[in-house]
Amino acid sequence: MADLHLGGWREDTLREIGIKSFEKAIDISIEEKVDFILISGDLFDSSNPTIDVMASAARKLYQLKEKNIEVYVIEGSHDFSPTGRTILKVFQEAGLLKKVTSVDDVDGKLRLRGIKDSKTGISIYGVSGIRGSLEKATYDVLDRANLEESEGNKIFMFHSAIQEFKPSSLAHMEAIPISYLPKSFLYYAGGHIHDNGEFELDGYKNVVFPGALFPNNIDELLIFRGGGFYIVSYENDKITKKYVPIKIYPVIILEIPIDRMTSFSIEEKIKEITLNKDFTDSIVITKFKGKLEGNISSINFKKINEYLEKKGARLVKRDTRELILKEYKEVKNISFTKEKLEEDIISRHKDQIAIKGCATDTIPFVKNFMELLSREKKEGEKKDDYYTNILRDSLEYLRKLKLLGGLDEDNLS
Amino acid sequence: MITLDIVGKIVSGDFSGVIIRQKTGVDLELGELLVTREDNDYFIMQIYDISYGSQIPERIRSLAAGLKLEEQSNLSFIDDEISNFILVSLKPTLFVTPNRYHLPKRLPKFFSTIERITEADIKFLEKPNQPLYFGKIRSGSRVLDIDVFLKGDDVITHHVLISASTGKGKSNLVKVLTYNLLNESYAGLLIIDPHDEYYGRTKKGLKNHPNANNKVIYYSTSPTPGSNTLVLDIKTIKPWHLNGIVSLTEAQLECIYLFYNRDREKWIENIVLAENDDVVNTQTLAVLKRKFNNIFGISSDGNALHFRSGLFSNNSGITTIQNVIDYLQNGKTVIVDTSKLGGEVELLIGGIFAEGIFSKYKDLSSKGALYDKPCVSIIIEEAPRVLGKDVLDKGANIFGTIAREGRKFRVGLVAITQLPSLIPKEILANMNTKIIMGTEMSNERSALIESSSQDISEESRNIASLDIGEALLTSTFSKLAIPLKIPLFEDLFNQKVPYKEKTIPRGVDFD
Repeated sequence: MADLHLGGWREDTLREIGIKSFEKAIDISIEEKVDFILISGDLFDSSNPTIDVMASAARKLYQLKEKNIEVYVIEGSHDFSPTGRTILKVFQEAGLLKKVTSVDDVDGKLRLRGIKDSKTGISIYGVSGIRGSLEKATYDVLDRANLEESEGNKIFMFHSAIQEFKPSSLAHMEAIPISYLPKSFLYYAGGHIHDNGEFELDGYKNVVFPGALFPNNIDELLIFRGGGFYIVSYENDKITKKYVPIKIYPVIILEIPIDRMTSFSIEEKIKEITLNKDFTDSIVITKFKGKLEGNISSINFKKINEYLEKKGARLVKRDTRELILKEYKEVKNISFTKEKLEEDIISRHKDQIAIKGCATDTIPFVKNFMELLSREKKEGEKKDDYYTNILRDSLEYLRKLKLLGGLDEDNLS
Repeated sequence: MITLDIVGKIVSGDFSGVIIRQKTGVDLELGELLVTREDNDYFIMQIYDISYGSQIPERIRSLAAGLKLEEQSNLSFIDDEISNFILVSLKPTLFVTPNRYHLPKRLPKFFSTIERITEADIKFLEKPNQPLYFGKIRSGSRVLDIDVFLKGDDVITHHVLISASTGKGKSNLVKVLTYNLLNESYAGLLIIDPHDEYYGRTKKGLKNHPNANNKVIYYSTSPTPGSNTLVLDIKTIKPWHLNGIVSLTEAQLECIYLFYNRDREKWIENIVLAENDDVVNTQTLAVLKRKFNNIFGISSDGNALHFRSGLFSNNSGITTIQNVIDYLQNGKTVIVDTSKLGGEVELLIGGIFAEGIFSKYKDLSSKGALYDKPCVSIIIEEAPRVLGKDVLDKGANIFGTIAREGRKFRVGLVAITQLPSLIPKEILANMNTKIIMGTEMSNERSALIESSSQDISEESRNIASLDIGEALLTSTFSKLAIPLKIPLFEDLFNQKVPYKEKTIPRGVDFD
């Protein structure tokens, strides 16, 4: 499993669901009599979670310890700390889990020590993930050859998006290429990508991202609605992967089209579309869509939430990103060429400058004059000549328009 | 009186060629640059021909030569050095005054003294903004310590042609150009590399540039650690990617678009898996399956797809095209190693990326955001494979489109070839900068000379005699055709490399 982000939600209910998801996954693992558990980063949402979150996790990890089920972990971008002072370190010292990221520096190369699981004989290695894919520096000097040559069945744990396997929705996400990982391992346990997926490419078989155990933000709730983990078995040289979805409470998305409705009619609309629906113990996301008459504060969200909670919803969250508010005016497709923009600005300010007796309209006058003044130096033209020429041409233009009356031209030159 | 390096005097000629008599003891070479001074101004001229001259009648000369050859004769001419001499033909290329320089519109004075050019005579060639480095100025085989730059944005967007016979240093030139571009941020580069020679997998290459970590992205079907696997999800391939690269009949095209319009991103998969289709002729379907097997390496294995190679996939590389486009529009250099791909597949891959960036830039143009992004150059080897007359006659492809329209959208080609004559004249004319290296075949030289930005009609012999690493640069963005000496790529590494801070490995524990 990966990306549990325990302690991650602000809302108590969702934070508790995160912890319950973890507890359920551990219970299933115990029931299924797994030999060991891999957590590929971001067990916690921060390197220093709250006492309650730590206590819940410790309780469950201790249960695994009692059952003699080892837990191997790496840190993820959220629970990593450059100081090394993380709760994972504390849990490791307490014997609740084992980090597989120990290395030795051998001639400038990093040689992962790995841990051999005593029950299965499988060696487990890993590199933690860091925000901004800073783990690349580690992969640059990782002794891959040593890992590839070491004998026996091997698992590699990592917490990075893989360039070749990124989903199109995460095309812009920082990622590392698969070539950074050592080849020919039995299994690659990935984290960081919150969607689940199984991949294979050349020398890399069984590259698996279990995805988050429980969604980590409202978008993930909307897309995935839940999470899960993998139970993997290895028998007779064959790997079998079973995805186990975890659902604590169902996630219901309530789409509310509110085109040109008033607050009252929105409430009526919600009543109408939820009439025969059961929301018992569910997480409801109200997704408002369309053009709203008036301000967003005119919608009585509190009342809507209370109504849905009365119908059994454990939690109501709202998504108003697709609301179009009336006060935002649409910008017409104006041509933003430099010339057009200049013309607009001159036009807006032309009444503020009174050019007495000017023989031409203000707009063409200002444009022509600006053009004269902004001429660039010609190739081979001396700097002094350039200034003199600009001044001469400008004066000539002003003289032509009879705008030099009363000025001492010689002094100007 | 300055008598620095006098090499001759003007004795005759006209505007098409000034003839000078070479001073005894001086050895002038084809292509050498010479100057003749007039007060504060001077002409720059280039040698395009060398011949013998003599005041002694031909029959006397033949007789004297015979006597010397056949008999032990001490016979010599009186004032030999005065009577027999070398005539050198020069083309006036530039007239330089203290304020400006331009093409000559008059001849230098009769009997003017001619000197060898010095570095000081070409100091007026300044380093522009957004520089693109080509090499050093060459005068004959003498290299002057003057770097040649043109404004890179202009050069790149107006296409570049690099032409040379085998072994004349094309690859070295491209390495030098691209290596120096890694210092700049005004251009993204897409290098389709059929010989896997630019990244430097086994020797020095672009990966060794101090900015390589941030700027060089390498895609290969057998990647080095840290580089990207060249893999494309078939869902990201569109029917128009095959245009002009894969030969398809009208019926096959109709079938492809039928599937594409119906199944969208699953069109390839569904064609390969189709048992029978009511609308499509079974034979057409069978031929397409065979073609897709050849190109994409895809076949059906019962109800599942089977991929013969790792290049195409149905669950990896879905963001490859998008990522390459993003890298390019962020000014990175993307090298695509196509050395293990067949010709058609190589062009298909290059075409897919080229189409992606071209479409992106067209889109940016329509939004008025084109100039917020760096320009993009696509380097394609053996260019006649996609720009050849016979290829384009069969149907337009993306490279032909870029050659014709790319300039408007700031996407340019660097077309490398030994056979420029195979490229249609209108496309050659669109290649506004040409770097001409040694070319022995006269029809190839003619194609280059006819389409050059400068009048280099007298340079044919000179081009034929260019040695390895020597080149002639003609460009709309230069006032003269510049003789070049391209430095050796390996020599670039003798320059001082800036200190690089050591990165600290993170994500592992040193106990």
